[in-house]
Amino acid sequence: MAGPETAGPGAAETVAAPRASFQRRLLATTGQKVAWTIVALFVLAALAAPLIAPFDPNAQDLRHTLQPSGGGHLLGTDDFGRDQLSRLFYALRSSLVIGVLTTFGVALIGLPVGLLAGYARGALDVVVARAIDIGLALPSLVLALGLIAAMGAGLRSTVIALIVGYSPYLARVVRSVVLQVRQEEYVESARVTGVRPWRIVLRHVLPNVLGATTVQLTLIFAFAIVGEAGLSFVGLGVQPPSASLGNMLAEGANYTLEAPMLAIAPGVAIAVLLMALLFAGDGLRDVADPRRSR
Amino acid sequence: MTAPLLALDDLVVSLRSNPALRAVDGIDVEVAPGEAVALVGESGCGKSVTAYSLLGLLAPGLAARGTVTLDGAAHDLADGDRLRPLRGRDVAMIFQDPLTALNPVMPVGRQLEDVLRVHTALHRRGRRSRVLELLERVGIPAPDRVAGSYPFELSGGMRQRVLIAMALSCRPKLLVADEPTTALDTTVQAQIMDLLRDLVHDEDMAMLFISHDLGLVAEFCERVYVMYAGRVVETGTVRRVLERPDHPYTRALVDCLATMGQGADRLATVPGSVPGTDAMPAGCRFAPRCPYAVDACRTTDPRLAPLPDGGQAACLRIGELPDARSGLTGQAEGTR
Amino acid sequence: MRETAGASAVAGSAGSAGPAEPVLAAAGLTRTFRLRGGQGEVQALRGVDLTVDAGASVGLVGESGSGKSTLARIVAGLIRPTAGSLRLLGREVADASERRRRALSRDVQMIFQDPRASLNPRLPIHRTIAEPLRTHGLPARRAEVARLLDRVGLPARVAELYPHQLSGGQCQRVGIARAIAAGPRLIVADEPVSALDVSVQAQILNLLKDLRDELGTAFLFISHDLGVVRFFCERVAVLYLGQVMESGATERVFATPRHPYAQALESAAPAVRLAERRSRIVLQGDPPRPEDPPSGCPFHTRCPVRIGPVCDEVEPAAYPVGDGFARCHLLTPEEGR
Repeated sequence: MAGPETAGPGAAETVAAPRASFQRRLLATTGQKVAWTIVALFVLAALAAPLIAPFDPNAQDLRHTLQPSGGGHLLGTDDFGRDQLSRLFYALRSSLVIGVLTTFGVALIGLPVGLLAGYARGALDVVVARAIDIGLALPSLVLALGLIAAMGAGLRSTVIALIVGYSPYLARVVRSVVLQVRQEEYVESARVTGVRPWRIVLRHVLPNVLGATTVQLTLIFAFAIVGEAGLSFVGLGVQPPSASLGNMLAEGANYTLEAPMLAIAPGVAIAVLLMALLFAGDGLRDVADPRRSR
Repeated sequence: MTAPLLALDDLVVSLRSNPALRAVDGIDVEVAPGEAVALVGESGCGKSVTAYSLLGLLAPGLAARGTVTLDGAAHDLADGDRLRPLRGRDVAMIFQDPLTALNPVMPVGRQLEDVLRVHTALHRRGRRSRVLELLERVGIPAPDRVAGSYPFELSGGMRQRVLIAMALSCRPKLLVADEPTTALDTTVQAQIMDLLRDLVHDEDMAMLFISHDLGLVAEFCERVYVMYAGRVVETGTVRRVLERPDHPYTRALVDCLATMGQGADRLATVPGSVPGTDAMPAGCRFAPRCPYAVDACRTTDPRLAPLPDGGQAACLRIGELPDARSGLTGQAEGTR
Repeated sequence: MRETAGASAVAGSAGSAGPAEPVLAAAGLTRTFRLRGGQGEVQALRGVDLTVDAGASVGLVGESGSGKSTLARIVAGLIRPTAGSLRLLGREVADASERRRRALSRDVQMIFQDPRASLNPRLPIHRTIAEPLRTHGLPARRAEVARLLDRVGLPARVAELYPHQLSGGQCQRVGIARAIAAGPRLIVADEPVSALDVSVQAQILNLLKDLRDELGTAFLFISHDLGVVRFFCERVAVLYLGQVMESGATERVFATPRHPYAQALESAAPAVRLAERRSRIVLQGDPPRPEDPPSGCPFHTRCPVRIGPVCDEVEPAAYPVGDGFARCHLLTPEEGR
């Protein structure tokens, strides 16, 4: 039996308070609160687009094209006389859908590949690591162009092209974090305990890689929105008449002098959404780490 | 005692974000010229923070208050930048990990020359020969070769010697050594401690030695301040404090080590652990772990008071405690 | 030459291996690491013989580069030896497959140096402690976790906390609870108290001693601190540059060390009290780099009592001293030099 002088000390020591609530940790700073509010507003606007859009986003009115703000059109009309605000709400929809699908796809491919490459040793690691390098070496725009050429333009092929383009980035980051984590004493301790390798990966490696992964995924979410804009700008991506932030920006760029709002509105939307996402990503990392709770 | 070289007066180090949390809570430290003085204590007692604050090197989140008098000139500790002229010239410091204190991409000889350029009027050739002289002074066998080496090419012991050479370069009056041998092997530790002792003796330099190792303190220092939870709990000559400790905390520490060294069957322990700065007990900070604590100890904060045989201790029950010469301590005395 | 841990099994320890079968028997254990870039290699262990009997505690002391951590990691199954034999509980494991090696993990556990780093920061304590139980198909109920916590002197509410909420000493208690959970026959303790404060060190060492006496577990106890080894181990092996320089009963090795390195190591440990202070043997120079070991006796470059060219050229054999041995030419009979 542990004697009194060994049983006592642990008990006498101060034992810390339970973890702060999820919400409190997520919204730890004012900056976090602002970022998450903006993200939430964008998501709400996208979800509620059919309810809050004042007009049908595709209804043309060729008598009132390129109108400035006013007359019921808060942000004016475009070259087909469509209500710019309504189109912005619907564009947000397709952009966010692309962001979410791409992020999920990248996580689904990049995370397991990175875990495998980092934890496996020998030939498997070499093969997977080389495959990641090749994926990174290919210029992603050229890759996307090729894929879209093969599959035809549209939302589906845009998402696939973005997933293929960004997965190697995530896999590479995950692999390098796994290489660090596998050296940690708690992973060695699990090995000494006799825990099976796949269980070590799931229980000890994965949770400790998620923090870095979360930050990368918010980056990829943001990149996907920008990437779609880039593809739309060269005429690929989401096809008209469906609106996306990218093709609105591309079309608006033709009328920068006559109707600057056509480019400014989607441009500002992309920039604000991007900044809010990046800021919110830092908050997510902190939430995933129990050491940062206080 | 002659006029002290260094006098630290009522040093308080607190968190900027919450000044009520104090890492160091009102301590006085004096070092006489040429004297080797130790600050000892367990992790979190505030000994390193004390050293850093007197050099103006505190982390940005910490604020110091109090004054330091060095060689007769008083300086306000609150303004770290004001203390910068003292660093290197009057006070030099060596650290626990010599690797992080050296620039990894520059040969150590050039790093030494840089220090000389800042603090002396020596010309290039003079600096070069002074570098070799310094490296030889700290017992480096092939100064020429070592001067051209990068830090990673040197062993831990060699790196610490280089840092000591750097500290000596401007003939400081005080050397602050923060756990200088903790990262080294036992046999190398002995070499470095011997070197430091010789330097203090030969160069007429005082040393403030920060350590958790009472054994090293016992062998290499003359006076000691024992710190606990941000306060000095006992001070005096090393012989008195470690051979006949008066404060219950010092007694407990010495007993832990003594039982380990004597091949005892069970080790003496101090129950519990050091309180955090956010959970300081009222009254005496050691009371919750003290075997001699009475009710008064839990309400009254003891102050350092002079002891009959010299030195000071902060304990309300100092006269009432069982004689330190009995028990384990007595056995050690008896064998002498 | 074999090093045998003399102490017999503590009463209460029982197992299939029987009292005669040591829990650990290494012979000629060697481990070579390839240097980065593929050029050259380092011999971290060079033919180590070591035996730990059931219920015995054997200390392993040495400085950085001595190979003591490599030996610990081989015994714990984290790395494999390059050559030599390692028998654990009577089974040869030197070239065992990962699967076969894993089958032994219930009997061989490890306590790590950095108590906080050895606990997964994202798992609450009860899941860390329950892991060995689950892994080996033992009941892992909360009551069992609470019992283990109590055994290492921690209150049951610690189960819900995370490592960063505990002190270093508390983390090491959790590490100990995890190590004893599945009832191992051998625990490898790699510098288990060197990261802790003195007063906490004493608590943890007393706890380990209590548990050892109660459970009859054998220990391979690695430390650079001779006082700690002296307190905990009945036998000790002194490692230098991947070889055992001297071994034997702890009291004998500390009272009358025969190898000059063991003598220097023993004398270099600072003592608090004047009465315990010895005249110190201060060695010159640094330990040689393991990637560039000296010829002959590995210690001859720093040896204060080197007797001549024989030390530079001939590797000394293990010469019996008491119930152990020392590797030094000073000990060989005159005609053998």
